Amino acid sequence: MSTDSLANQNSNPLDLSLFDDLRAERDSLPKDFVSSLIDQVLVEVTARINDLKDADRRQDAAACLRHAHRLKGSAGTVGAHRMATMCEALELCGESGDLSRAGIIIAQLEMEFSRVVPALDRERQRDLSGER
Amino acid sequence: VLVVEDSPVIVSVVKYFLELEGFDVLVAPDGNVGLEMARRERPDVIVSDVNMPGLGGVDMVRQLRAEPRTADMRILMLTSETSVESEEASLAAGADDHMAKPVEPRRLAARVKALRARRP
Repeated sequence: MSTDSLANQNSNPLDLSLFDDLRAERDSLPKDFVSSLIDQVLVEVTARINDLKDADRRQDAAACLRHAHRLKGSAGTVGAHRMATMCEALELCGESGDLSRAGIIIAQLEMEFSRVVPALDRERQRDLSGER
Repeated sequence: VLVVEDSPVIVSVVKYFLELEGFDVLVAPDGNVGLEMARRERPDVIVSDVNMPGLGGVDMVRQLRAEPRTADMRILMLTSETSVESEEASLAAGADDHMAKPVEPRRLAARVKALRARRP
């Protein structure tokens, strides 16, 4: 494994820009906004990954493209950029109609999501503790 | 502002930052509902996703522009597609502005403010 890829794996899987912005507006945020947002992320991403697995199982390239596209937007917006990049790769699979690599990429996506979840939880804890 | 977007995560983020700027925000989960709400609520600005289930954003914009009651609404399109073709399709359909996802909420709010100021 290269140093770059090792460093990549060890770095924070979340770009915290959005959460930093939210913390800066803490006084005007509804009390549970960050926590609710994180809950929405967990539900939405889990649903989209299941949709992608289903599309792969059915070898439905159009569905793979559609679900990857949707997940790319929401993952990128919360700062999960590596997940968004993996979704781009899945979009290419869907566009080309060749899903031979989709299963591997979906597995990588799930693995990356398993790294994003604790990072989101850290943001939840920072919010609950009132950190600015 | 009417936000037409099927991702609850993106809706939450966009809605919050627009409300922070003092906008009243309505939400529609797809283009069909967005079209109906635009006709009924007459928002100053519409922020719409491009790819949605049912009626997509580009087709919704075409229909809004074709109807005298909604033809002059300011419309900003949001899309995860980064191609020039996607931007061209949005603008050719009649959108006033186009932004690529991931959504940068402060930048989006600034664009919406600018669009609102341009309203006839």
